[in-house]
Amino acid sequence: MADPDLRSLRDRLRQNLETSVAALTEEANESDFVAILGSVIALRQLAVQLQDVDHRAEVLHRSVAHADGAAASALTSRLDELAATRSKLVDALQTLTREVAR
Amino acid sequence: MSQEANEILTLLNTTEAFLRTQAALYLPFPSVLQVGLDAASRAQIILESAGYGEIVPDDGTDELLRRAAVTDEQPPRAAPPARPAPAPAPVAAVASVPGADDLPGEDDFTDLRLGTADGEIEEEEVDDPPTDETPDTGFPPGFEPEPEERIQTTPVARAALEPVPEPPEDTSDPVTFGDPEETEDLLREGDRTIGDAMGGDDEDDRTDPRMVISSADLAMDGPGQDALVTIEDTSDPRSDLDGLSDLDDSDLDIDIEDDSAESEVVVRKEDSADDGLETFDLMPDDDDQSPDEEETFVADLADIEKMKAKMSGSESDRPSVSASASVSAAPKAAPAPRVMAAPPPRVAGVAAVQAGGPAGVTAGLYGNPAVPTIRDRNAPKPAAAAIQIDDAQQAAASHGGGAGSLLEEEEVLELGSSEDYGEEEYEGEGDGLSLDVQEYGEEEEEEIEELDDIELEELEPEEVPLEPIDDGPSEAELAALVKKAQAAVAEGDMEAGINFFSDVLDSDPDNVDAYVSRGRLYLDYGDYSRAMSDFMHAETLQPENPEPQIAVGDLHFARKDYNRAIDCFNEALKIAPNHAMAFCRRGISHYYRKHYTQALEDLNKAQKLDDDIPNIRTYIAMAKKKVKK
Repeated sequence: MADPDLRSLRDRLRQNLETSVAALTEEANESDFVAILGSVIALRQLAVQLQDVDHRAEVLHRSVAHADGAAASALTSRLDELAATRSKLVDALQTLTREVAR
Repeated sequence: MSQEANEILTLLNTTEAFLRTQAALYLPFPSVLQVGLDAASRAQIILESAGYGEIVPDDGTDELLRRAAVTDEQPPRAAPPARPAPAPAPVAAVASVPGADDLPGEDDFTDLRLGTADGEIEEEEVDDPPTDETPDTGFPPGFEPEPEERIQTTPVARAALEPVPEPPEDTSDPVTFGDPEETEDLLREGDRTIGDAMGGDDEDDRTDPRMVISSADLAMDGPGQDALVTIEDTSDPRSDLDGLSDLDDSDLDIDIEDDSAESEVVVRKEDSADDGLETFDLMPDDDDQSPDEEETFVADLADIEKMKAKMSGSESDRPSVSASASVSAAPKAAPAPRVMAAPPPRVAGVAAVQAGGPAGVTAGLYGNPAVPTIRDRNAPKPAAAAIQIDDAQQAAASHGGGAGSLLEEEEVLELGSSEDYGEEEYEGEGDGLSLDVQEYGEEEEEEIEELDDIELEELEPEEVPLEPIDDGPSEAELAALVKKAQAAVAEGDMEAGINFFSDVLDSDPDNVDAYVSRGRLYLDYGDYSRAMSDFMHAETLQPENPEPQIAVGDLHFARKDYNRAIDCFNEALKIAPNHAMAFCRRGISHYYRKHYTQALEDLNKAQKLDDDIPNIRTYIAMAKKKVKK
């Protein structure tokens, strides 16, 4: 399932990281290393959470297909929550991606 | 999961690894470690400050995930109806079917139809009444064979149609096949199992090849009668007492209902082949010896008895010596007893000794050269005695050593008389030995004195140049090793750094800095146990040094055990109250414990003491932000 938001986020993140790393290797500074490495670690944690959310949503989608009645509505509400969480994660990723460029 | 998320994660992992490598390449060693710690702290701070620390709530989908993991492996589908396991047909039901004793073999089932069977099934014997439902044929759905005729199947009928399983080897299995009437009779007998009673005539059913218990021997018609069990050894000729020792109750497996019945087990050992068990048999085996050997052995026994009588008789005060046995030993040595084998005598060819009396020299006891010569302790020690061997024996003894090289001029002295020993006195010239006493002559004594007068030349000790012991590298070499280790670490070669520091510690085991540095390398590798070991070594060597305490605190900090980390930093600050890095680390630890006020105080102190601490301003800003909140 293609996600255009994530695709653009991926491209921007790659570009920003390349720029930051290139600037970092020219002038090796400990604080710069800490800043960019900290951002990368935080981004990675967010990406892991995004993977987890996607996996949960996939499982819930399969469960909804076999459920009926109250169980199906409960699963649907959980899917909505996961979608909101995913939106937050994507926003956080975009924010941190912009931070990497600075 | 979207592919883009996976690609983003891969990109971030690669970037992080690249950044760590670059940091190891371009930054000094302490800074590399610091960067790793600070970056992790910064990442956590970023996530928490932005509210993304735990962005995925526990929405209860874990259970669904677990189920999904199961269903992914086994896709859900309609489970086929479970087929009950075919229970063994009860014996009574089998017996109620006429002609059940003529059950067909497995190959006979091809053309068998129930309607054409010899007998009919009695309805009252059927537990489950026949139903009109589709019977469980054991085939998967859609693969049932089309019935050629309408078959009224019942569990009993199916049991009758089931192939007859192979009879189990274990005769204790109560399920047996045979004449049903006989089976019922046997079942009435009580605890005796069918297998025990039925298999009497068939020896092939026995699993233990060592013994056969025939059914005829199980003659127990009633209580109070003795049961005679005959165990015949038919397979293994060596199974005599040794095999019997292996028998136990489980081997016999006979359960006798009446306690008053006495059982008797008769072991019939028909095969008494030589199996080497005579090792402990002290008596001679008649089958193994020739007549000559037998006579000699009898003579030896007589000699032994006589000697025993002499040793215990009135002459017991005399030396326990006898040469009488030696007579029977010549010319042919008796076979050695099987009990033990003594070491061979040192004087070869000693077949008989003419000795006795006070001198008390015994040789060839019992005619056996294996028994060594015994000399009485109370007897006077003969001076320079030698054994002279007669011509007949000299050739035989020539290979034995010095006894054959005696000179003819030597004086021959007889020790004792053989008359004291009755019949076995020495006879013949070539059948014995005589003891000679040889004294040194004057010329030989003079030669000895001359040899004593020779003065040994005094050897002048050679002057051996002393070489200094190699006590390891000098201080300069050690300093060079430390520099090499630091350079290797700065280049990112952690393993080389550990090896260099290990070399330093091999030469200088009290180098605290090397211990701390190597421990920090281990810590960077995640090898906490070795890191802690090095830190503790350093702390033991220099308890007044705060660096080991700070290193231990860093270790606890890396393990996110902030309370212990704070304790270690407190200890370090007791030793060095103005240690800026200890304040900084303790402040960060307080921050992670969410004690922001204490964190801000420690970080401010650290900045006052050393304004060059990396990221100290960032830490202070973060703490201030939390304190304001």
